[in-house]
Amino acid sequence: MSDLNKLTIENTISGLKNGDFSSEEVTKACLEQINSHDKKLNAFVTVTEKEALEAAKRADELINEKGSSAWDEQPLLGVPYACKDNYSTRGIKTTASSNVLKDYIPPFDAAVVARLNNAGAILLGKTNMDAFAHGSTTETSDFFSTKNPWDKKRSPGGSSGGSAAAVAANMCIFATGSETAGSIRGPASWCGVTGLKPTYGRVSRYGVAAMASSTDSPGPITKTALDSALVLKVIAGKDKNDATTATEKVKNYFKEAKNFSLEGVKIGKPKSYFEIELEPGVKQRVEESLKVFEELGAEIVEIDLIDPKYSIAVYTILQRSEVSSNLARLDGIRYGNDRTHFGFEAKKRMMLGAYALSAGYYDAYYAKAQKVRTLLIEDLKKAFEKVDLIVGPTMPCVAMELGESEKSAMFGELMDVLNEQSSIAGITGISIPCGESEDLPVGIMLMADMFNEEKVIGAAYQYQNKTDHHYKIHKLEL
Amino acid sequence: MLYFNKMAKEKISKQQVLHIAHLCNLTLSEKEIEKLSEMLTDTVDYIKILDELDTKDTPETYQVTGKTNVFQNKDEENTTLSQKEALSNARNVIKGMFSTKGVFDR
Repeated sequence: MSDLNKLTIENTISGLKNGDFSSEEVTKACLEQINSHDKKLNAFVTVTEKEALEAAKRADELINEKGSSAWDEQPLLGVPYACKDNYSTRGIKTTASSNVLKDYIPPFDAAVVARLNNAGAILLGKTNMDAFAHGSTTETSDFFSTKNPWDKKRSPGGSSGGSAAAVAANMCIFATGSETAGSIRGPASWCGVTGLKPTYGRVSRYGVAAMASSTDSPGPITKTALDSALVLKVIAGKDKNDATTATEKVKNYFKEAKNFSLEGVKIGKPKSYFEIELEPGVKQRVEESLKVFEELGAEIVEIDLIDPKYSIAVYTILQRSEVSSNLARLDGIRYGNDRTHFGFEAKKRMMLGAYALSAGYYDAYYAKAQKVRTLLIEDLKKAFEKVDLIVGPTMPCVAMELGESEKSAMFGELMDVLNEQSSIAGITGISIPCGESEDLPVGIMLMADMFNEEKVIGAAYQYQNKTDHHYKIHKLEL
Repeated sequence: MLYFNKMAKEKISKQQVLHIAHLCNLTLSEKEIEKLSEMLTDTVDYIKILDELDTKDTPETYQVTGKTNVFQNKDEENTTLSQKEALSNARNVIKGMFSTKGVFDR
């Protein structure tokens, strides 16, 4: 069987169950894709070829021994994945794409990595990102820029750009990303793949290099919405090492998403989200997709949400303040290089954060932003009294050319304008491909209230069931 | 660029930039000082739009899921790293401890 690297998680597992191919074959197919194309794309910082092949052989032994019941205990057994390089991986270099952590080898696994390992998933390597996740194009990586598999002159988005590019280029079956505001959904949108930002606290942050601790949400980047349900089930849940993880029950997201019906579901369309400067092609694709949702039985309802320009300001203050505090711990004494190794973007963010937190300015900026955060939360709460889901374009434009991001003081925050309110409020959202503009993918975003991941995945699944935009990555010429 | 207003900006001076850099324990090149003075000025200018919103009676939200005082369970295994593991990335180790720069003059 050829093109095993193009499989979804669902197909990989059913093929392994049927004995159509082995985990070693799938893993080799992904590694071959990486070896043939990553010199051009730069999606990976580290490839763990030897360890991956060993793990795949072990998975095949388990499958031979236990048969189909092997997946009862290990639901992702034999499925190769790529991991964003801000997740700690025991014994494997974890750099957060920064010179400060260039040679850092963590003595422990992040909670998500440990859960994926325990579930039998196979780590292929670590993916490039904006250094410390500071950016929306993967260009602030201290090592190199990742290229968009759709057009190598363009950015894959960020900060999880390496992961999104690796999924789009079929270098892995799925990948992990992390989102502070837009860092999963944005690159998923620009690379034509599916990105799920879970509710804050749904997935443990333990062992993920902290950016803004009050909004950081680890999550999956996949080829389909249903695949994100399979990963979420494994990585979600209370973790004793992250006090902010939620105790809410972890649902059977796959089953619930599959059973989700859009019949009678109200989807809110915020006027303010469509009134900002959107590329005409993006707006058009999203509007067309809304018709598909209507055909599937949903009702589109216009709603009012606060102008997203305020979310940009709140997010900029909170994120940079938390960045300045989180990165203060990097002193080069216990691990990593000293502070002279920080790149310009990290310096810029820490400094604005320190300024906003300093005596005399704290109330005007940080405390004020936390108050407006309350307004943004109440605004969404009111909306969810009227509608089940909220929709918007994921990004205001299609993938930009490399080099554009350096021109503005707040490029990342401005690009992520439509993701910020949901991130600040901690609710869940998903981005799925909904067509192309200028031969580049456009993403549509669905958001739901806290702990309603099955709703956004379910609605996305229904849409993908009716459309084929998520298969376009099969035809990319790398 | 989206949203930046055209009103007179309150400039963040090079001197202020150096002060903040000192607070952050960062070293900057001459070019970075210049660029940061400009970029921080732009950013501070932008975030002032929050003043347009009335938050007189609005409380702050620091934690979105409403969790407070989450304690470790004493029955749980709470060991994280061994001493050897914790020291495994340190550049300078003396007698099983991290070696740091001196803080006080002798």
